[in-house]
Amino acid sequence: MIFKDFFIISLSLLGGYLTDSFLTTLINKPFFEISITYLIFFYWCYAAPQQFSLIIVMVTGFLIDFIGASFIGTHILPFLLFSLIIRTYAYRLRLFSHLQIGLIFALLGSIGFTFKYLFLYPDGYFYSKLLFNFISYILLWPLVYSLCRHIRRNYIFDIK
Amino acid sequence: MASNTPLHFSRFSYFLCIIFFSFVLFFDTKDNFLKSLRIIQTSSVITIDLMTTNIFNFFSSWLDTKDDLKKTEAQLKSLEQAYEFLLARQFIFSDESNLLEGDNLVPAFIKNFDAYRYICCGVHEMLISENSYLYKPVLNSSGLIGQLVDSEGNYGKLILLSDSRHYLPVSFGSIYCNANGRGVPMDLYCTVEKNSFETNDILGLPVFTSGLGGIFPKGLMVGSVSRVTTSENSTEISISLLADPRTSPNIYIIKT
Repeated sequence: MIFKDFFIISLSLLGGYLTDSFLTTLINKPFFEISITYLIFFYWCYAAPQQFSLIIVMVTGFLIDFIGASFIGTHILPFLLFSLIIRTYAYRLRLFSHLQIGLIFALLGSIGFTFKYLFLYPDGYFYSKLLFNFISYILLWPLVYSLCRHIRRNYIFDIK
Repeated sequence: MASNTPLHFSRFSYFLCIIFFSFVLFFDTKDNFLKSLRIIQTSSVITIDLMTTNIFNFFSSWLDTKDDLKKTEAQLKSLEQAYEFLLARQFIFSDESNLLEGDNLVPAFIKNFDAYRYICCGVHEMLISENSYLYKPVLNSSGLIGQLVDSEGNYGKLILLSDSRHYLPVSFGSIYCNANGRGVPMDLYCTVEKNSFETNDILGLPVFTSGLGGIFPKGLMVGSVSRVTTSENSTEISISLLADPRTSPNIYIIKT
């Protein structure tokens, strides 16, 4: 993977993080929480399992933690775990429909959500938020998939 | 590529990294040992904000020739600040310790506030421009918002009333309690003994600081009782806060 590809992937994750924070701040409801960052991350793991290696996973996780002023590891740890799972079953996942993949990613994302809130920010944990987050993963997956696929096909020439 | 083609990579290195970062996260949450990284992030945000404002001002002064308009805008800003200061003074007028005698309000500005984590994650703290009056109460033009608890570099760290680490002695009607936040924006909670009052009697009652604890002056309005939930042994009272910390960057520290 060349630097330009890495730069574009990091930029897409950063864009996801900014969208998450912008929408959450705008809607300003305790149950509202979407994680486009995780969906974008899932897409890159899913679409480029060979190129999206351990080092890149760690660096992107670190960047998100740093930019969000979170504890170091808040994103790195779930990213490592999800990357391990998705890389292990990378090509098998392609047999499934978008709805099934959306469900699998929603489950994984909910694990990340629960990890973040139960261990790091217990004050912000609500069941309604978890449910909303789960449904939003399924609904947003086709959108994120199309957008990231467009970026990959037009700007990242190393990953086919 | 065939759908079941195995992908060769070292799972061992993944496990190793997961263990390593689990330790990093554990010690970071426990001892805050990577605090310097977060300070770098905060100062970067403040610097970028300053730079973009300066660049914008430079280009707007270059393009905009309407000096009168700019002067009016500057005047409007200073009038707004003066107005908010008067509102803050009027707010502390209700206190019973004669705070208005002398110049007891120190103006400051919010320098860094993560609105995203305020809503999502229960992180209710902000950095302000003043760090010399530790443990003093802080208010904005609409009411009390929190307490200065620490200094980070040149800035002061303020925890908001709704933060789960903060306790505020309050009173309403004949009831006294220690209200604490739970990381829910604009809400405080109080637990009192069951049957010490009628629910309908206290709903909507104004809540004031009780002065116990010696940090918050007595008689300042905090909010109003919004909900009463009764359980087996106790009653939980929810208090809606009067002041939203996001309304203005101008804040004031009560220094006495």
